Amino acid sequence: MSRVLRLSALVLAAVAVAAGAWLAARALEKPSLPRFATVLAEPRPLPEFSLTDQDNRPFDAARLRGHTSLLFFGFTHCPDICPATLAQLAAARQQLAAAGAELPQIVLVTVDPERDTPEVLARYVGYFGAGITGVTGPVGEIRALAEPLGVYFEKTPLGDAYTMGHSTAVLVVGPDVALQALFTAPHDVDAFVHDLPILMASG
Amino acid sequence: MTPARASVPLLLVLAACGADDSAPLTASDVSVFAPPPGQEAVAAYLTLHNNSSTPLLIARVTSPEFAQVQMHAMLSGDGMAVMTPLDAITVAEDSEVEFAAGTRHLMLTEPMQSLAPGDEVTLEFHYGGDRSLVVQAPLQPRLPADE
Repeated sequence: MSRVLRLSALVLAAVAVAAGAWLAARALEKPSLPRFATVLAEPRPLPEFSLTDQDNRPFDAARLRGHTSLLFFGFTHCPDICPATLAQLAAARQQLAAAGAELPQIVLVTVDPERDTPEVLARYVGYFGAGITGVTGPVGEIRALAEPLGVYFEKTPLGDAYTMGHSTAVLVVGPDVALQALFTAPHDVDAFVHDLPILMASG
Repeated sequence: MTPARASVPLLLVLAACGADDSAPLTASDVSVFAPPPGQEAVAAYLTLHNNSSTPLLIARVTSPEFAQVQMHAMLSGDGMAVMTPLDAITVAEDSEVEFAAGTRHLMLTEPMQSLAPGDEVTLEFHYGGDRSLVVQAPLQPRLPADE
């Protein structure tokens, strides 16, 4: 009988050690720093801007204040990186929602306002799900917002039409309406899911 | 309808001379994405494998479902990407070329008929004079499966 008790005690001790090691490992694994985003040493306040969303409502700094936003500058005629990035952001948002995490606002700022009217943007961003805002406005106003953030775009001939060259980073704008961090392409859903809760907790 | 988002396996790879594992050119990881509402351009991605000991020049790509198929490269520099048409592309001997978001893609425009997710899209890669590689894959949305 005492042998059984000794064996039981040994098993319990082994289980306790294993559980402790597991908890310690989990504590060490707990993410505390972003692994993928580039974090600015000093957040960069956004310039004043006055644009229009897909519902023809004004879109300015007030719409960014108080919550984290992800800004992507792209255009609806883009067949490749724009829909791919928005789909990745939508997937990341979905995973964060499933985990009960705080959700960022996703903002597509068009670099092609000539074709991207509010009506066009409404159909486009609606396809990618809830929580995505499409923004347009005068090209000068878009450039005035973009360039201080290091975002550039240009019109490029393509056959009989044109395409837009543009920066591909996803910008993380904090609740104080300052550029906090950015994700550079190629983008990855797992990178967004890993880093965003950390950035939002520190923002 | 919520078709699977995962990369669609290649359904069919045929060389003009017949399906053959020893064909000079083969393809894998084919995905063809439907455009968001209001847009026309379909994007296709895949990896082309040159199984031969000589470089293969892909002179053009056609599709019976689209009037126009263009190969595009995304030229990147300083975090900026510009879409540029490619007249042709060479797959080096015993090598592969990947068409993936942000690097290269096929842009399909001017559809010959209305297409919906799940419809088959055929791509024919013309190379080596009169040879061709035909691949087919279903049109799929870019969205996560449960949205």
